[in-house]
Amino acid sequence: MDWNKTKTIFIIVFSILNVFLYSLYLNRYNDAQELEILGETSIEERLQADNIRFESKTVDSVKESYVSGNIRVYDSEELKPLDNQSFEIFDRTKLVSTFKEPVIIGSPGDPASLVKFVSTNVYDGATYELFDVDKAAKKAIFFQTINNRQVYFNQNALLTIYWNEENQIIRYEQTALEELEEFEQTENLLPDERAVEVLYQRNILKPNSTIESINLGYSTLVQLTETQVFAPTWRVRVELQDGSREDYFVNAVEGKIIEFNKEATELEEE
Amino acid sequence: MRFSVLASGSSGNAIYVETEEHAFLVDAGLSGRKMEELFASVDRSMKNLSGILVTHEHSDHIKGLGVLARKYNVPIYANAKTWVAMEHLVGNIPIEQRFHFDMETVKTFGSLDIQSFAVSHDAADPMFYVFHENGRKLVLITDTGYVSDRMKGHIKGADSFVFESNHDVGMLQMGRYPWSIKRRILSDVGHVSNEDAAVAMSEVVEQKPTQVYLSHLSKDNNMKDLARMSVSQTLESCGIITGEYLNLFDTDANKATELVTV
Repeated sequence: MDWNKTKTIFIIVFSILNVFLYSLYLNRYNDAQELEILGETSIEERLQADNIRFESKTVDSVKESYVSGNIRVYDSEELKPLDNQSFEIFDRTKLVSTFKEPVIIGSPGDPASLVKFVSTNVYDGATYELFDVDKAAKKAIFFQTINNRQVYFNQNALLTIYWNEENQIIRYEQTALEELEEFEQTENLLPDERAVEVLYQRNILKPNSTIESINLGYSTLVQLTETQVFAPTWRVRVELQDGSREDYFVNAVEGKIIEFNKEATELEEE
Repeated sequence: MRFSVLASGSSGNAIYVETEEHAFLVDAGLSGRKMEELFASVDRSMKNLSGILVTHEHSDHIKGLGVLARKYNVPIYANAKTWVAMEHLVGNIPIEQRFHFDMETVKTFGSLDIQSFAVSHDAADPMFYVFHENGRKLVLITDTGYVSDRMKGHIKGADSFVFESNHDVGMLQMGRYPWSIKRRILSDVGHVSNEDAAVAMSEVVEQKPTQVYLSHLSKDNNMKDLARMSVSQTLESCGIITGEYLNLFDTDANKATELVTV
């Protein structure tokens, strides 16, 4: 046996093996580096990759406080100035007003007409803001506002307007909060971009959608025996690929996603 | 007898109590420098302290203890198990400054009687104190998972309370704490919620002018306004209207309350 030849063959084979193993190592290392680079991509880039359109509007950091309020107890004396309405008060806190003569407005489905109607015909109507119009059910939902910001899906801060087949407004149901007070303690709010990021990380935002608007409002944080406490909340309205719209809510202090029991609110309404 | 809640909360606790002859600090849960600032803010000096009473060994109650004990040569009082538990946390405290204050006992300093009583908290042997002087009574109870009948017996009828009102249960449950921490806080050896504090209060206050300082508020799961509102409404549901004979006061994590007479 020629040991010199054997030795040479071994050296060549192991050299080739080393080169092969080193190339494997390099590939894996590069793959790992790429993964890290992907992990460091900004939220804008990730949204762009999923074709989710979004423009942040928060410029400076915002400080807000929590707000507390009590459920309004209706007094029929207060309602006297409202003409053409007969009132029923349930549990002292829910007002149902029926129009003796149904009211005709331009088009009940038209937000501007509804807002005008509410501000002139509803007790404290100017403190409510339109949230949604359900033309099929012939009703519009308004949320009461605090500091010009809506209180989302609170059964005690709701106004629902109903109209009939002839597009005449026939009645409304109303609950309200009063004695609204801001807490001394203020909190730095998360920017709207962070709310979008929270929703994206939970896979709630669907690809090929557009974030239409992000607004600040309030959601119920704590319910005490008489008082409720409200936390600043981002409402993220998203237009989906099929043209439908969805609303998502994120606590603007803690960044937690809030899921409202919308059906319960509607049942209460009915 | 006068007192000030120098600081209260999970970032540090310290309560100052004085009579004409003696001055005590209950817990020293902030840095030495911060403690000196707080003393200065009520126009008092740590040089005049007769002693520091320790409730338990958690860091928010003993953070500045070692430094202050060495710097001001102050006697430190704690029960045996608490001494063992905080041994490695407070550094070297000379033997002549170490004193035992056993559970459920009374020590007398001139006209002042200080009584210790057990609380339910996840420490080695936690206890709090009741101060009696000239028929007036001050109760400190800021770390307990619940208020037992035995505790109520000790604290009943005080003129002033520094009472734990740690969290709102809803905020805690919805908040960002890990489940294990939430469970600990809500347990019998954790902290008292706003509502539970109010219910306990309603059973121990008597119909006479009473000051209640809501203390040890959680930074993440409570707010001063919320605690006051919640305690006030729960008391009302128990038949006690705040402002009639019982008044609620805030405490702060960084700012001393006014030095008031019991």
